[in-house]
Amino acid sequence: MLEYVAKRTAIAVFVVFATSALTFLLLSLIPGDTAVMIIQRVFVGDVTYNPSRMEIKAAEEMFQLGNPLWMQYLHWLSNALHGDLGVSYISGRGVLGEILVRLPATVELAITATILSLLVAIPLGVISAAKQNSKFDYSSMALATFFISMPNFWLGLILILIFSLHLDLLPVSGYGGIEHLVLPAITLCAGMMSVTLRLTRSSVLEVLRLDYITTAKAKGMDEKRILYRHVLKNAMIPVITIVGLQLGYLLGGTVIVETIFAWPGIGKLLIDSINARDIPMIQGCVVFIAIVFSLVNMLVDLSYYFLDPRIKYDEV
Amino acid sequence: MSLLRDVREFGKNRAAMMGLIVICTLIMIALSADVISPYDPTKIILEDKLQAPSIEHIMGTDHLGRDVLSRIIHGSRLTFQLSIIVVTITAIVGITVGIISGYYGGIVDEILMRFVDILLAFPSIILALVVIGALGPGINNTILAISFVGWLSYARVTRGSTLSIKEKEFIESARSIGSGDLYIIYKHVYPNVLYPNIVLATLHMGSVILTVAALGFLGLGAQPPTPEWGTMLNEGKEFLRMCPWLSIFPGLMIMITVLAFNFIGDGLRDALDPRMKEVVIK
Repeated sequence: MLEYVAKRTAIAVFVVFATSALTFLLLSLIPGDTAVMIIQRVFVGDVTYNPSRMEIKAAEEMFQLGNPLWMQYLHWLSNALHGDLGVSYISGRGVLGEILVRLPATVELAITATILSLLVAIPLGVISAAKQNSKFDYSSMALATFFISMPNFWLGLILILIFSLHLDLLPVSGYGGIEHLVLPAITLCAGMMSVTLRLTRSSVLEVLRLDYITTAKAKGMDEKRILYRHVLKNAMIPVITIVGLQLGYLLGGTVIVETIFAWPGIGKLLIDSINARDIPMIQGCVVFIAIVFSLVNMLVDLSYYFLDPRIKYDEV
Repeated sequence: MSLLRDVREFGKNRAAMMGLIVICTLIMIALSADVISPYDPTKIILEDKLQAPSIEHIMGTDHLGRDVLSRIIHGSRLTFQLSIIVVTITAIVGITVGIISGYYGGIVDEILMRFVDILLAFPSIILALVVIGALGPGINNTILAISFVGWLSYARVTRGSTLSIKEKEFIESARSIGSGDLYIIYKHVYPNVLYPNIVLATLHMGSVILTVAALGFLGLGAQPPTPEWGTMLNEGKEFLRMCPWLSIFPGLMIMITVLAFNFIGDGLRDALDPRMKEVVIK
């Protein structure tokens, strides 16, 4: 077990490093004179300002821009390890601080969407499997395919059109009370719900085919009792995996949903930074997302140990 | 004979046949876009701006007076071009990597698959956004950004199939009569990994179309005045209250196209490879 935890941690740390290096490399391709950009935006606050050669040299030295790329990366990395992700080229504020300010909004949205999707998907998935090939099964599967195929940015617009503009029930966008949360959460949850629904169904179907279920049926046990007592417990393990893996979807989805609804989270921050070519901020957001992602994935993997004692970690 | 049986199996699937008909129709529309579109998709006529759907303009006009139907027709051409290019590139790269990894095994396999697993788990749109962020928005960079992670699923699926085929007797007998690795791969491994990859490619088409449109919607994909569905949505959303048709029609087209590909993909999976479970599509 201990060995597995160590191995898993090593992988998680490696993912974060690899992502940060890859992002750094890619972002170094951005054309334009970084030193001039920093002086204009961070120090002077005027994009038309024409810095002198001295100023450019000073800025290059301060941000180590003249150094080869790998040295710049190491410089960034050592700062990052000390909790300093650099300064935004746009606002001039610290990157980490800005990300942490945005974090609660994203967490709020992500958790609400996850809970919402589970509340719909698991009951529907279980009933679909229990009544395989029934009308109910077909319609819930059709619903799932429908929502998987629907672009979430379009769903968001349609929801705004119906509930905000026509019925005037909910605000169009913005951050605030629970009424602001409803539409973004539904938009984000739709795709996730579909995937969880399909997986819950196939996972329950798989368990239903196992020998001990046949035994229970042969004994004359009540069908409902079999479903709740024997099937569900065992079918939920793969579903938990999926919920863990959905995190990737969730993080990607927040980028789009936050943009539609002007939700002040990390996804919107990332898009705004990309539009503004704010290199330290893009780098910071991606690394932060990588850290959250690796951490949660690791926790999900480790949680199996408690859920399914049959899993042997030496073999993983 | 098995191919014939597979085709018949596929034909019985009503949703899949529907999907096939829709896609064939859309391809015809895309091919004949210049002939059938009623107006020039980029011609600006400001006097006609923001007209509601009517007989002259079935889907209305946008804020620059351009005919939405014509833009949607030309958009279908762009969408198919982009997604076919991406799917072709990623399938070739992924299948090659997967066969090498699965066939030769060893340390190469170990490193490649670790790499693939890590990237596969990471949210693909974030990686695509970083690529776009670095290279700038536009159609070519959209292709690059999506291809950057798109090959991973092919590599994973191909490697799995290659591993199981490698152990079969006919490979051993081929080797015993002196066939070289390249010959075995070309003659025996490659045809056998094709089926799951066809299923994957069909489902991948849908997901690529979604990502292309998503990047367009975020303003990072095709740039105006290019008639791309996601970009049209992005332009149209400013007028959501007054002119909802600008947002409804492009989105509807994206959904119909993706839904059709998903139906075909599911049908193909059931007909060709029933054991294949839910696959992770990037």
